[in-house]
Amino acid sequence: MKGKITVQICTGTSCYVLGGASLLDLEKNLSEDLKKKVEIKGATCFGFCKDKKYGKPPFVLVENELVSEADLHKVIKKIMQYVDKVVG
Amino acid sequence: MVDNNAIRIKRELITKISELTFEGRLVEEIDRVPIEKFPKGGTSTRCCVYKSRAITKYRIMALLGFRVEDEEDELKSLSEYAKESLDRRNVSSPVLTVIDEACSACVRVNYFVTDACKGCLARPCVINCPKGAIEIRDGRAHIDPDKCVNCGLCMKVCPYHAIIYVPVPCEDICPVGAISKDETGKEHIDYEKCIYCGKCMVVCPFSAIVECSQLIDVIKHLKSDRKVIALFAPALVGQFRAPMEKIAGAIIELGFDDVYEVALGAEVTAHNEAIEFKERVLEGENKFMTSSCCPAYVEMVKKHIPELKSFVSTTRSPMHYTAQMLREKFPNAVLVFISPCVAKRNEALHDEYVDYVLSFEELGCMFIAKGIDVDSAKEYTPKQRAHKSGRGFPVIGGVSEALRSYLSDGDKQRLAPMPINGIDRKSITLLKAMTNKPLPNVNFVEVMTCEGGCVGGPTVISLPKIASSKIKKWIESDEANK
Repeated sequence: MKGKITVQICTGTSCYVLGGASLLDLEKNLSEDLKKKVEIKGATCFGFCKDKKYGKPPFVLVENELVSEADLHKVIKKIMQYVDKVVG
Repeated sequence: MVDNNAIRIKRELITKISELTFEGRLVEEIDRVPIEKFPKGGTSTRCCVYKSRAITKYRIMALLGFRVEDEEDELKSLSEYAKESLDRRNVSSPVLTVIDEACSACVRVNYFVTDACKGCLARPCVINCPKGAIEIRDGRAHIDPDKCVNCGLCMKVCPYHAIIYVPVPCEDICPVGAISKDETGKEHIDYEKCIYCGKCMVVCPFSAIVECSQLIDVIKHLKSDRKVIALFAPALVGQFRAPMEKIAGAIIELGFDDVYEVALGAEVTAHNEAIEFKERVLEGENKFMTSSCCPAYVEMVKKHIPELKSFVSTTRSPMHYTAQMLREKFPNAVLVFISPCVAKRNEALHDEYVDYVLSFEELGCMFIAKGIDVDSAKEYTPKQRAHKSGRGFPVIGGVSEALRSYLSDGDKQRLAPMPINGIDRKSITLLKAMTNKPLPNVNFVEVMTCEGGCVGGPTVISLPKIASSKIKKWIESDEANK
């Protein structure tokens, strides 16, 4: 898999207020090695907040996989799953 | 910003209460909220769901504007409190309350013997303790909290580093020693010392300190026929990624009739402060002058450094001047100040023009409650455009820069500003010392209680560095488009 792993942090109002704002700082918590493999960006509302089946905000998309009620730990765990796929 | 669970839980609750109030279901459904949040068989962060529900009930009391310390009847339902909050005409002080049930009463003394203790033969901890507070029992050292005076000697002498310092977060962060334990070991705020900076509230890992909110009063007025005007602190523009006009538009969608920038009042503050600076320092006897727009700082001078009072500028705050101007224009409107600051609540209680204060996080939660996404809001341009000098106030250095811009060309070079970027015990000592021995190269001190300036306030949504950067870009691009 060429290219970087895309991490999109929803900055729609619900997500932003309930934790998305702090997640934008995610990069500083990654190792130097991991930083090079990841591209972090904010994104406008995906609409996941409209349907309860997706879980609670804040939402983060790692490649195309949704992380709901996202926190630093969950997002990094999901990123690592993709890193392992590339290496393996 | 939400970098811990406590803040997220708090905001989910504010959102729920806002939703119920907007939809007119508050009195009927409020008692169910603690049960919904902590259902039977669900998880709890405390000993059990019943404790979590009890704490949630107190949180809601504070959101309704009541002080937990004032509770008289434990059986008084939230519904009754809600009715009272909807009926009241005025809000009252103080502005912070401690939920003693939530306070874990961290530690009794700050030194703790860990399992790394080997019960060694040398036992320097026992031998060096000046109060004989340590004894060896069951092969380990134990500190008697009744005798320990927190000197820390035991920690220094332990060869295994087995003794650690355990902070009490709220007590450690309070710059003025206003929070301490009462007889039951629970934290308690001394309002004669408290400067309402809100640092204790931000730092408590159990979210045991909360604001007495005016959420109900504001939403009630938004739903009424009265004209309600939002006055927003310029720091708000850093709180969302969308441009200012969309944020203003989202505020209108909430039900506000109009929106004004408090940066307008900040221009008046800077202008008046420049005149005062010239009179008192450049041409007068004062060796230096300090800013006066930070209300926690002003409260701190009043309660803790009275000798500094004569150096503080007498200029009023941006909030005051903006509200004064709008009160003249709209004598019957409800004026709501939207702010990242806890201390502004206290200033507003004593200000004849401002009616209510809403925090940034309360505003954000109200948007969520009404399903408003700021990025998709219809743009609204406030009727009066503020100047960049006022808009720069929320970032440290902005007040000094504004002051400079209002000085005459000849006087500009004579301004020697120094920022105090966040107040702690060290900066208080520095300020006290300046009253006796002013610093030679400083004639204006810009004091911001919060690190980074207002963008670092206790109820902000965005990370301060992101907010600062957005505000700077806003000012630059707006100037370019003028």
